Amino acid sequence: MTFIREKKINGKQYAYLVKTVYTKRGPRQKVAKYLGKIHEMQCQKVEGHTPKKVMESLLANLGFTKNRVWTKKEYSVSLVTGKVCYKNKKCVLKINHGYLWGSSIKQFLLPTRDPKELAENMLRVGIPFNEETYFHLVKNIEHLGG
Amino acid sequence: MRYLVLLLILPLVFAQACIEDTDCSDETGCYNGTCEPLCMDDSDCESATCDNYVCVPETNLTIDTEINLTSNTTLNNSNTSNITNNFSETRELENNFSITVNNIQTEIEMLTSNTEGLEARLDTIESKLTTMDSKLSSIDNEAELQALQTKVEEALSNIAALRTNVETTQTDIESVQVGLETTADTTSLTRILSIIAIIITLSLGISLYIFHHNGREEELDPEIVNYITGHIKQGNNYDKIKEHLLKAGWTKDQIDEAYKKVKTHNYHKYLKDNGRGHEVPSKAINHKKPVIIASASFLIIMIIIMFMGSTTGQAVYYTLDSSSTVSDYILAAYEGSGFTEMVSIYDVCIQFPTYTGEQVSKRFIRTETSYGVYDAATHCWERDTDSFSVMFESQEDFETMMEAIATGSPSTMASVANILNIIVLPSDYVAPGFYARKDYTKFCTSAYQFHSWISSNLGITYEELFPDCIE
Repeated sequence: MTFIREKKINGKQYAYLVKTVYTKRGPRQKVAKYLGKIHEMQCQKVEGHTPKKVMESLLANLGFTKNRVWTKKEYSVSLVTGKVCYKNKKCVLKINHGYLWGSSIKQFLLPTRDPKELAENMLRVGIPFNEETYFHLVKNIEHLGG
Repeated sequence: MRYLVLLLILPLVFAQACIEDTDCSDETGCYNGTCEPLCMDDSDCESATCDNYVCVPETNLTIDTEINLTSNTTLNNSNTSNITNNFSETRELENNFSITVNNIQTEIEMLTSNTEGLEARLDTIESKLTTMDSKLSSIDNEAELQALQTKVEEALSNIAALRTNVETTQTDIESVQVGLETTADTTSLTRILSIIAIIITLSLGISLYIFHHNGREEELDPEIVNYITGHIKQGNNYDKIKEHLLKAGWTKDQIDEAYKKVKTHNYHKYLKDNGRGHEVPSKAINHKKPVIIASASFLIIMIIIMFMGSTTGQAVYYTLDSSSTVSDYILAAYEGSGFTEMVSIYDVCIQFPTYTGEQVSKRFIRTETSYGVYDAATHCWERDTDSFSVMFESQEDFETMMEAIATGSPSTMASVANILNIIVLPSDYVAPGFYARKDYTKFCTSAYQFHSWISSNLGITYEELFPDCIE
């Protein structure tokens, strides 16, 4: 099982993907990947009937504009490659206790037929949960035949 | 072969033609009229070049071949074998290129992962360097260093001054110790001298008193003597004489006193007339003087009780320096002598002329919760509402008395009080005529501590001095 862990180094927060390994001394956390510096942002509401529209709404509400990729000052987010950068260095956007980074973006954009997994993906990526959006996304799942 | 050519040409044929990004799909961007995949960095592109978020197509061997092939509009048999050879060589080159690209990609991935780790470490180092820079800049600041140096020098000089002070203090302590020893000796000497002075004074006083009063007859009103004598001769008894005199306006006490004196007078006359004059007592007994002495002693003892309390027998020696104020003297006397709960509320008015001749009046007031010395609104001799009120003839007398009280020794206090000129002023407990306007029985318990001293020093018993204390 992997999850994100924050580390504070010299007053700055960094994100690491850690996995649990079982040793003779019991379970231990092991850093699997360095994800980059954490930048916190806040978003209150999103709209959209599909995961992609919801993600675009999230970025738009965060102040990003869509060009070839989504950009905001020196931030850039690519929904195609799933890369999130600040000053051309990869980073993680912490939104509403969720983390927006490559894997979470791709996971959310991938079609799923499990409503529970959909809700988990929403929270994982930091999308503010609201009934209406979730309802539409679940309807979309039903449409997919979930 | 045609299929092969077509296969190579197909990407060019089906490549999307575009002018802007909007002409391309979401996952592609317009580059030189062609929709190319979007990217964030080179690793996103197969061609390993990402420019402005779009993968830039490189001119590779395959495309060159494709171009060559497409440009050759006419193919003939003689060229076929060359083409085939070229093609096989191209394939071989392509394979080699693919392998090379794969290797490079692998290396790039490795480098990327290494770079990520290095980035994190660099961030850490950078932040540490920033911290160190700030620290260094603060240390390197020459002005601050100078200020620091000045402070250090100042601190060193302060330490030196402190050391000097400590040495001075040690010297002072030594001199104080010597002074204390001298003072103790002086105090002992003073006490002995005081006792001698008291004895001499008392002896002189008694001698003078005896000399002054020797052989003096009591003077009686001849009218009343004749009246009482006449009635006695007529055989009237005392009750009848008394009745007549009461009707004439005499008081009962006056009549009793006169009757006693007439009896004594007549008895002495009878002795003289019958040649027994030697039997007449050499001096008459003056009852007034003991009353005055007793009342003055009563006042002194009361003040001592209030200042001293229950520390009787504890020797506390105080040396008050000349800079002490009047209030300090009074407070030192009070605090040095101790504090008792037996006498909780009172006020004493103390008046004396200062060394410059100015009259000073202070009030020592004690309540159940606090005590203190205050300036009296009017001089003690202008008031009679304090518990006790005394006036010293000089500031020296006042200071001597306060120091005596501070010793905590009742005998010292009383001895000193006897030799000093203390004037008793009217107050609640010593009103004119030496009677107490207020009930003084609350002092009885404290006063009883002096009963043996009273009898041996004043020639009067505790019960006689404090008649109201007898139950």
